[in-house]
Amino acid sequence: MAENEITVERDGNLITTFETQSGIPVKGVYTPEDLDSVNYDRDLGLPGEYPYTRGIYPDMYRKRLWLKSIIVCDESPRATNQKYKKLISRGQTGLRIVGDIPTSLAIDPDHPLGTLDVASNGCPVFALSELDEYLNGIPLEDVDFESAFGGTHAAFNLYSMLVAVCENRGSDVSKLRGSCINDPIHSLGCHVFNNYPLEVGKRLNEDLTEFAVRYTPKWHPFVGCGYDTREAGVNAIQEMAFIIASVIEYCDAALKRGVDFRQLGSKITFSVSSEIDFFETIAKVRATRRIWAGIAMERYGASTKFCKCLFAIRPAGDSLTAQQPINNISRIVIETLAGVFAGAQSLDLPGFDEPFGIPSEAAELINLDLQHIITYETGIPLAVDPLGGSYYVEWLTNTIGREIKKLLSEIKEMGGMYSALSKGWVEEQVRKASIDRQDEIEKKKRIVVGINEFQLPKEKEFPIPLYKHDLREAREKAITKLKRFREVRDTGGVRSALLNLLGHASDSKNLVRPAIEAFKAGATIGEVTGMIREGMGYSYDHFGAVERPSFL
Amino acid sequence: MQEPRIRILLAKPGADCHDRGAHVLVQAFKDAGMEVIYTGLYQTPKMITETAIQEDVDIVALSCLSDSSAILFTEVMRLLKEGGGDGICVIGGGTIREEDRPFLEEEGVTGNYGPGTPLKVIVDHIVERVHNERCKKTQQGGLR
Repeated sequence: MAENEITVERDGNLITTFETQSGIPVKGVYTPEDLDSVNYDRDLGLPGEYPYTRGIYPDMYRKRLWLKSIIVCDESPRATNQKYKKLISRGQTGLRIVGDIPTSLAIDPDHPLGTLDVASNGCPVFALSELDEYLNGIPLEDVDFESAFGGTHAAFNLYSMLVAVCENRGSDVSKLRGSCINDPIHSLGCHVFNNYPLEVGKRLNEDLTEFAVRYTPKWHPFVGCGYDTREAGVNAIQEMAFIIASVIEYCDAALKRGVDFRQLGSKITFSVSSEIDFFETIAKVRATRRIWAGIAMERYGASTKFCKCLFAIRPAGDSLTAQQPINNISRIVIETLAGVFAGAQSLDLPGFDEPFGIPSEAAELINLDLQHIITYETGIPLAVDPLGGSYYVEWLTNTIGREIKKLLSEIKEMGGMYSALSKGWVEEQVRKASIDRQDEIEKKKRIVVGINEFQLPKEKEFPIPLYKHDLREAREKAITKLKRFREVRDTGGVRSALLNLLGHASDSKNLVRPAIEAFKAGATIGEVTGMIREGMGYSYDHFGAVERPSFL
Repeated sequence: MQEPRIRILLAKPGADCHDRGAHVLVQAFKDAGMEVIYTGLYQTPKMITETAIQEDVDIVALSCLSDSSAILFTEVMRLLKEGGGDGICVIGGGTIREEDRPFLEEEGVTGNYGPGTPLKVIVDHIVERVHNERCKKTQQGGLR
């Protein structure tokens, strides 16, 4: 062969796997025979009707679009607020609040463990003053907030602070809308860390639920978060079974506290990943709506109106690559579309630069405009559940639904999700899955462009704009601000509010009201968390690195 | 002569909770015949360097997926030198910005792999770095 000739490998680019991402074997063609067992009225029905397989609203996006959300954050509450306002005026409707890493762990910016991570992956929100600044000039009633604070302590802190901001501004808290993850099983299942005791997580989950259904009836008191567990490695079947089983635990616990299922039934929400397997995402969401409807009716005796569940869907951060990162835009588009076809109530998009940090302005704009393009240009939202009736989609919905139910029975046999977690089963599943997924890539069972095929040398990659800030400076500023905050506050008032919280924690009384009052008095997130822990018989600090402050 | 098994400390510095990669690496290092100590989540740079020196490891692998990777890695290096552990190799991985790479290399943190790096690339790099460090020490007067 001459030097300048190349060969064209016509058969070199064939598909390498005939399974879905979660290992469901797929045939070449599906026909009505594959849907023999399907009864339209029983299994599908109209959108907005039980069992809600085709979606929870009759008109879906014709009358109510999904909440358009993206990650918006900057190094300080003030800077974040500026960005936030710009994007809200451009059509962002899901107001996602993103705390930095210490905020997510419920520790203060000067905590020895978190101090080098201040302003990383989000904005520092160490006290009420910071959230107030974050939400400066933003209406609080009848807008939809989403908490991106993953840990249970953090979700509890954010919710309490949000109620406090509302009350301080004279807004009507009964009009506070939104959701927080508040899912202690997911926090422990994917990031096992025994210093966050399950007992405390359970207590916070139940206290928040009990308080929220009473005073903020439009708030979704908990969200089954499959997203993070999926990112930690599990497949779609595990993701859905885990969150259904977790939400059953949270509902059961709420009922024991005297909550009526009707207070929860219209607010059951699942946050899930839209992974790169397009049809599997659509199928798992449709299947889960049907499964949950059955559970709500059979287990909780709910009328059909209270058998719905909502979906918050996010393209998978772990599908995005640091190699040839510009390709991530393509991945996000495909995954976002899957979310729309699945009938999501909210979409939150990661930046295409997520493998490197928080989104640049370019990534924010692309993600918001992508949702506008789908809305206004593509015609996709015109018909509800446009893939309903596809032989393949209905077959896959049934098949993945069957697998989810199988796993749910396994969890039931173990005594439910709390019990499965305590036995270490959840952790074991997550660990094994993460090794298996890596193995698939290493053995090229699954091709990921830029990772195990079609690589480019680093210097040939297209550069992408990255969000830039001086982390060291942002950290200094946050710590100085915290110091000044502690100096000027009324120590006596903080002390009595925190001691009151401590008393409630040890007396098994609901913690939300005293936490709200503590935040109003000037307590920090670390102090609120510490007093709750101490009241429940644990050390002040989960990491054993900080003592209860001397003024307390 | 066959080299002694590599003793490696895999560490998660700081408050970042993304540990999927770390768990995958524990398995990969074991499969490659190394003795692996995994710190678990939530370690301060001080805790990591103390463990590294106490456990007399050949190499520390730092995994961090926060924006602060470079800051945390640099702090580990500083404390390691300060604590007399400057013979211990350090490699890094996670969310690392291109612009931080040269600086980290200069500080002695090598590898600096992004997500998606094949495990073999990481393992080979560890073997090579430890081998070179051991040769250097032999030349300087025998193995430890």
